Amino acid sequence: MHPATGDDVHSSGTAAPAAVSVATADAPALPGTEGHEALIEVRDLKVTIPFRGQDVYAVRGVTFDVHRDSTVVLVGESGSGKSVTARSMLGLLPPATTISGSVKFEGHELVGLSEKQWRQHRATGISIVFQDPTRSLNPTMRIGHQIGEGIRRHFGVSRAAALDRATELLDMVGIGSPKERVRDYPHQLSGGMRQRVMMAIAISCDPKVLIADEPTTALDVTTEAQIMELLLSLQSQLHMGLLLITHNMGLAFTYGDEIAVMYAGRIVESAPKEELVRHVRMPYTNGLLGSLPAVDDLPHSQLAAMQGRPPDAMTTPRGCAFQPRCPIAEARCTEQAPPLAVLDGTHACACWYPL
Amino acid sequence: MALPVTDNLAQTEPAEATLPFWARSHFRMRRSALALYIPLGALILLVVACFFGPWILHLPPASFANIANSNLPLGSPGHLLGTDQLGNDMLSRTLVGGRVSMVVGFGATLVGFVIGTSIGVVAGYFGGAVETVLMRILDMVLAFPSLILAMTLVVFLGPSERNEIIAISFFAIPNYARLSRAATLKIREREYVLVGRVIGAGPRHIMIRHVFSNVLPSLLTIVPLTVAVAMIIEATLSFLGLGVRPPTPSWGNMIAQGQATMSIAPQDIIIPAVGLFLTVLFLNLTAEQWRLRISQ
Amino acid sequence: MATSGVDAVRQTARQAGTTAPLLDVRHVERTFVVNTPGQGRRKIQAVADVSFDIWPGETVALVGETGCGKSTLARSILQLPRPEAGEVVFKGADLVQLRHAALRNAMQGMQVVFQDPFSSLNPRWNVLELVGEPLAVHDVGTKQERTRRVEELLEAVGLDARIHGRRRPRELSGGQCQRVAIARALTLSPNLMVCDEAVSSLDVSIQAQILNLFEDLRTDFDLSYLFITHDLSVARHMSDRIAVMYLGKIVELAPSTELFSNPLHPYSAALLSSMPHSDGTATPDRIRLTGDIPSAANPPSGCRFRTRCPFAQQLCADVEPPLNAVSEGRQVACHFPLERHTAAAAPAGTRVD
Repeated sequence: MHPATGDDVHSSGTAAPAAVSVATADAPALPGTEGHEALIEVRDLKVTIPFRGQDVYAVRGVTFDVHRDSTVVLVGESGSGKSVTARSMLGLLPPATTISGSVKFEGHELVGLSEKQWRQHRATGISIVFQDPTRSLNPTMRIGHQIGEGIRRHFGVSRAAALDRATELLDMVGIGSPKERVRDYPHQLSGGMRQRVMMAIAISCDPKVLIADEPTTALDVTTEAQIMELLLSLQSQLHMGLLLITHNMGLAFTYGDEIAVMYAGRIVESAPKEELVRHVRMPYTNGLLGSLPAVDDLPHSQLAAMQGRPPDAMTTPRGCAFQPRCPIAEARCTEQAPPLAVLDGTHACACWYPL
Repeated sequence: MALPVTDNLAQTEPAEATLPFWARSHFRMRRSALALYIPLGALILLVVACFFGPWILHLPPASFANIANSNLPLGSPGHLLGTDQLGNDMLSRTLVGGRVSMVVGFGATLVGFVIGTSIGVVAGYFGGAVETVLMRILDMVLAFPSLILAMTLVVFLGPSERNEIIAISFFAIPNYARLSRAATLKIREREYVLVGRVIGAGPRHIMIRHVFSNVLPSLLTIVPLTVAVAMIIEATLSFLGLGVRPPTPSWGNMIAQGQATMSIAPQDIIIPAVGLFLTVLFLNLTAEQWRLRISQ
Repeated sequence: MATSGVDAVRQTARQAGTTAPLLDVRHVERTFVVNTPGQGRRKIQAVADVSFDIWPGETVALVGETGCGKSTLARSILQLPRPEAGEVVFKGADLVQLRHAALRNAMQGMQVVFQDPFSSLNPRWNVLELVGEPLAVHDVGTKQERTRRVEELLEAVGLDARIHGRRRPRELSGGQCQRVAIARALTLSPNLMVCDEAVSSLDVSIQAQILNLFEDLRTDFDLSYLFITHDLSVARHMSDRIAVMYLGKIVELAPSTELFSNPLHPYSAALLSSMPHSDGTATPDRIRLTGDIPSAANPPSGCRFRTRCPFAQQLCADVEPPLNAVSEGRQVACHFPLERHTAAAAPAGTRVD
């Protein structure tokens, strides 16, 4: 693998503001979950994808952990690199992609694996639930068969045993009359039920880590709540680590234990949920929360919208990527990109002038 | 420039990862610009050769029968490809004969394209009775095997280039009508068409400015294929004596004539056949590459 | 007794001398016939007997989940295509009865912005042509006048004609495309803008910009909006009144502040309590709905919501509740609307698992 281009995280030589310690690439950026083993450790992950002749710097240096029995939320807008980060953990990126940095699962390095080696980790180690269940399910196969496919491939059990297990799983994900349902085709199920089937498939081989990539974006608000609660209950039943990818701040704050906000391919703020609720440090996160229409706004009031748009993923800004839109940007922000620095123990922020 | 694709990587092809190296580079080569320009260039060369070659190279006329020179072999002085049974220069005859094939092929396609696409767009846009009537008429035409239909029409109208164009276009019209109707049905539901209606635009504005302009690109990529098929039908008609008649050369009737001297001078058949083959080949390659690039 | 936005709007309308709503939708029905193999021909009532109105200067939001019929209703109002039954009276003329040129004339004050910013713009046109299309269609003014108008409109939506004018949709971002669509909708000085999930495809930060733009345009150009969305907080933010739809019917219609503080229909309450909050607080009374949305081809008898309603009773299965006015500007279709104490000693809300 040749190293990807992209802006590097500098540790600055000039004096940083007091009480800020610079996180090196080795120290986890999410301390504070002691007692739970780290199942996935991501260190300075960079992903560059060629697209129509140009390089897209989708992920520009991301560091975080996913612990057992804990939910990490990667939240960001489109183009922030969150989905690419998730897919890099399963080797689901196009072959021409350049990946550098390290992604360790239970100590095994995942970057640079061959397709054959990936198959050992998928489903049994790390599993994923995608956004659109309609497109992820084969319309010509019965759902019992689809759930059982993975089980048979990994555990080599008989078709009957796989079907039994599939029925069990359908029950686990809250689908009524599982014995009848297991013979249904996807089109006979509603959107919410299909997503439950996806989750059954995802947990069928007892993974240690479950990645949920925008699992409820295609669903209605009432179904969304049901599915998210199911996700969390499965997590606690199976003691999995859960990595939730979403653009919905509400979901992030409701269901996450640790929240990492991504912008332009990097994590710009990360903290346990309670800490982040108490005190938002990164101007982008602040701006994002402020621009959400809130339930107690007056009708016809103006939202505190941020100016501009996220930067083009094909350019490499010299300083902070958020600087053009930042209300408190100073000269330093255009010259140097701030590293993701740990402030007070559990809260990390990539800003020269955190709030 | 804003990226149309952000986090969604579903559009990229993961299949490449599982191919061996040599197949992967084949894929890449197929998509390079050269893959389009080489056949297109060869095609243009052929067209230029047929229309301007004889004039540029000062070749003897194609129908200058000179029995004294009959059946000269390839490479004879003054006759690069020899002469045929009647002493005509083969090279000249082949090039001139190519003109007929190309004119008929292209002409029939043009007529079929213009008329067929218009019918299809109107049928697709208005639907209802208009669509039913138009499509059923076309179905009747389509029910006839295209070759038989062309033959019947040419016999009825009389053998000539112009009549060949008319006859062969009968096969092209329903094809383009079908394709353009299907495309129109899709585009009709697009939101910019709906907005056009809300703005207050009448059917004519919408059909011409919205539907037609979006139907055209993908339909144009079918044109080379239609030309190829039309040329083959023309050659068949001329071969059967129903199209262009000797002494005017056409690749089809040259092949027919060459049958008589097949054993002693097989090149009389092979040369025009190769001409037809190459043209059809380059047309097909061009169409395929064009379609690949449009669909990206 | 808060002055609801509705009262203010009505008052302005009365002062201006208008006594009739700008848009009056009455008993509109829209049915699809679907032919599925194995299930035969089925009639799906996407919109079943819907009535509401919009007054000049007012913003009404239509909210509901997938399949509730809000988009179908919007398109029926736009006559794309016209509904099978009912009336759509716009500026005094019933659009359902008109055809061809008469219809096109009567609809001139109504424009639309769709959800997908890219598919609502012809990919082969540039921005100037796109925004100028309405002017070209109606042959308004000279070429120079048209160009000037287009430039003005682009400026009004925050784009620069010199920079963006010659660009095509694929060279613009989603937010920019939506601005172009909005500029185009403003070209003929409409009175009513129908926004069908107009911000749902946009990123959160861009969404906020576009919502602010809608508000600015509302005051600058004196617009009324019919705002269709599935996002309740957006609806609350934008609108004076909200109509909640379920399976083709309006179940509740209320001023937005009142709907949020005091929902009367169990479905409205369930929607509100399902919204995730971005301050991490759990919703105090979470009404959980059981089951899935019933098929629109075979809606439940009586009240369509009864199969998922925690408070359903026998009456709900026998008699369909009509949309009743319960107070000025509030309507509910429920036999047993929720009661909430407004006094300080409010008991904990109902929570049914």
